[in-house]
Amino acid sequence: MPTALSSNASLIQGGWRQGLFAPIAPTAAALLRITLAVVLIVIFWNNPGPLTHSLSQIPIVERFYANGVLTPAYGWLTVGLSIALAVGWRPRLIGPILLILLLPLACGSSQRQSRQVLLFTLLAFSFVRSDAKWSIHWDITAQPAFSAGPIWPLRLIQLQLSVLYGVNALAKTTTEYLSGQTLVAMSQVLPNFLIDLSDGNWHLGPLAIPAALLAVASVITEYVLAIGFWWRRFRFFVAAIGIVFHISLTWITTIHMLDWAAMFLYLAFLLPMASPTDLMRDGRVDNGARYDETASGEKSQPEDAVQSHGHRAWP
Amino acid sequence: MLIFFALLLLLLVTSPRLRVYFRVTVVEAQLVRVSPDGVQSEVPLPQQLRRVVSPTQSPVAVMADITRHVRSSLQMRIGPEPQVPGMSLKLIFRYADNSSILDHQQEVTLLADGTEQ
Repeated sequence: MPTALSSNASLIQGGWRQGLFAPIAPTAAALLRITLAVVLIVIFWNNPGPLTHSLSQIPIVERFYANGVLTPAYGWLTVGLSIALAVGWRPRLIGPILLILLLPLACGSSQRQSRQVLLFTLLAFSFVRSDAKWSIHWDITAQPAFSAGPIWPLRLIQLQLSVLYGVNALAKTTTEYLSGQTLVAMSQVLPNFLIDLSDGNWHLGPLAIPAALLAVASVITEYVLAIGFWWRRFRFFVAAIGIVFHISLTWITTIHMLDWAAMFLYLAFLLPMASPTDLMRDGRVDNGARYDETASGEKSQPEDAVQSHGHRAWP
Repeated sequence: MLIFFALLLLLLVTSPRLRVYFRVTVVEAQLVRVSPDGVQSEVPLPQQLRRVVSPTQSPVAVMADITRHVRSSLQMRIGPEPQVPGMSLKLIFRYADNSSILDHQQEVTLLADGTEQ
């Protein structure tokens, strides 16, 4: 019995380490980085609106926001740094600087949720190493790395997607929402609702779909999206459900950029983030130091490799 | 590992801000001046405070926001009326919680200098 217990503990520990410290595939990390930079420019380019109430009470903060953050020069500076991030120039330095500059732009009253999602993604991504093959750098002798560092920053981005759908699904799991009452009220009083549910139904051609059915279906979908991506086999199917869900939402209401921010996060599950297949087969882990390139441009080999016999593949 | 868990904690702590369109609140506010002899007269409020619709905040939070705005405008002396001893102001809220029918009511009494009674 003790042998079985210690075997299980070892299995869990090995799976845990592989889940957080398996090396990231550099190509996938680079693709995610470039897409992140483009999405940052698109979403942060719009005016964030006036400061939220609590911050607008502080005069110096409001003055800095109005006269500094909302100026075109500030906007172009963030665009320039986003481009630097996209081309991979010192991304682990540019990432935090860009994060600090973009933070005030997420404090406005408009698009707060999508900006928060992207800032957390940028924060997590700042811990990913860049690869010489996919970035601009001064050292022309540098060789492509076979890892962009341990995978835990990408796990955080994946977790964020689950949390995003999860908190929304949980918040909507109320009697008022599931009965359709909240949706009916929203359709009557919110200007960005595009349909009229005042008689309790959505009239779609000859069909009359009850608001309660819409509410239940949307909550179930959000629960599926919150947890479904973690089943590797179904991740493309779940992504398809998510895309259909968000496209359907555009017929019902305008949620500004949060739809796009959420769908961008799908990449964290869909891109082959796991390291080169031979390493994954061996179950090796990256502790952040073992794969650094040497001064001569040669890659050092891992000093040790943790075998993870029988662990299931992480998404 | 420490950074991972610190960031995970940050993600969880800030996650309630990611909720959207899970509730709807409608609040209509009316500011009433009560003179020392008990006579009431309506004081006009800016349009953006007269009717507030929120897809995320509770009625309590929306009413607190409106009260704070009215109070700060009174304290900055750009309020609707000069101070008169014994005069008070009353904020009357009619609100709907997850509905479009304003079937709830609440009152907040403010002194002329903006402090709450």
